[in-house]
Amino acid sequence: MDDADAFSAGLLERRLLLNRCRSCGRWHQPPWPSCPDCWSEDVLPTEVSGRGVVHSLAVLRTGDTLGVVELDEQEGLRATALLLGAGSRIGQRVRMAWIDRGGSPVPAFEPE
Amino acid sequence: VKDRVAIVGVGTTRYERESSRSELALALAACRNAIADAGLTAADVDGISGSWLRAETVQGALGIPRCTWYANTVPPPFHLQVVAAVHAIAAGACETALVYHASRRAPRRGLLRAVLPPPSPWPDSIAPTAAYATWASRYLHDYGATREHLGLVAVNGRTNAGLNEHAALSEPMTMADYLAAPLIHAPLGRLDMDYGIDGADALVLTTSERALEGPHRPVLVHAAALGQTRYAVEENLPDLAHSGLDVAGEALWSRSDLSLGDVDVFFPYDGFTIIALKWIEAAGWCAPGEGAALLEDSWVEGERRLRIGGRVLVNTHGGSLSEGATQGAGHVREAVVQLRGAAGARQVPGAEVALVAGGGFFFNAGALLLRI
Repeated sequence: MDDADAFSAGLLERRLLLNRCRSCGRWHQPPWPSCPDCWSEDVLPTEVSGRGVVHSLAVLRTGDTLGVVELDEQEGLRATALLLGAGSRIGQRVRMAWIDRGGSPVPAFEPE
Repeated sequence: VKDRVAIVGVGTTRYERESSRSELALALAACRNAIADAGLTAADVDGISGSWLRAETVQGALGIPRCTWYANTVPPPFHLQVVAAVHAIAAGACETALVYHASRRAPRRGLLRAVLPPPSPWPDSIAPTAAYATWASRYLHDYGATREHLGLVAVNGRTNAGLNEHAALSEPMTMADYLAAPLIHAPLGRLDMDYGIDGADALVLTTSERALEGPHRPVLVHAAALGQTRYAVEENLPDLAHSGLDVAGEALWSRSDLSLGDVDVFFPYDGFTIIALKWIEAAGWCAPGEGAALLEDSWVEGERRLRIGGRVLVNTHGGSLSEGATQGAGHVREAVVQLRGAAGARQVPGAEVALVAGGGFFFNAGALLLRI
């Protein structure tokens, strides 16, 4: 049992599951086994909307753009994935897309 | 710890791109040099502050008979090892501690992955190589800074490295050279990143009383601080004004009788240019977001290097960008050499106080205020 098992299993179903505390309602990632805000162990991997805003980005040597996306669910809740399409910029609204990498679904973001 | 612990020995090896010596051989050479420099022998050492090259290995290889304190700080930003030794000596856990760092490029890569925090479960992650690039993008976006500002850090380091016979990269660099270098993870390019070398550095620390018996004027550790926040994941830092650097900087000054105006030479860690820029802010030279303007104001075109406030030189040895990447060991070594007045052509006249600011944004920041 690894703390990230549910997260990883979710990816296989093309669902982005982040831990949400059922006691205080706060989201957190990476998937810690208890809530960093209220210390409850009642945390549940919960699907997010996949919508958010580009917080920061780097254009990699490969030409791909790697982005950190702040999700709509909560201020400071961030997802890291490739940004699809040209001209990505900080502040841009994006939504989740799924790409295939060696037969595995991998989360990415595209302009909303 | 105020002035209770002193650095009394400093040792180093050549820095070179590919050494024929092993990591252990490099570390031992630096350790022998540092112990001899302190006028001591193996039997005088009773504490060892190690890292992934472990303390018991170095103790055995140097034939140090007995230690009453040891630690292995992994991963090894050098200031963490130094601060651990300072605390051990101040607490009486040992009297004389050896601290070392060896850089060996080739076999390190696999081990780096093995000892760093577990990788993110995300298929793509900004850790470990793109985190500073993404945060640099955010810095430039938030504060209207440009790559030229980061370039001032890189060119400053190279100019200073030209006065350091020890430096791995010393051929002069211009801003045009900086801007022409290939981008690796834009907005950061090859010259924004430290330069890997094989080499080692070591220090000997002891109580400030015992330090008076040594051959050199002791360099006192006036204040030491580490800094970490709850956002110890690269993606999660709320913003660039609330990093471990800010915690360490604030803690350092709260423990010091000195202030920034007393600092004669400044050693911000520059594993990436953006870290040095951010350290300028976190150390208190200016407010968050004003670092780029401060770099501009501090630039002395005739010297092609920085003088903060028209006075304070930055990374006189060339830093990790040009002297070579040593997890900040070079920064501490150079601070000691400067305070001893032994830096030769690059000596800051009359340097009495040095500020060493180490580590990165996420989980390993710390700072040392040293004085003679």
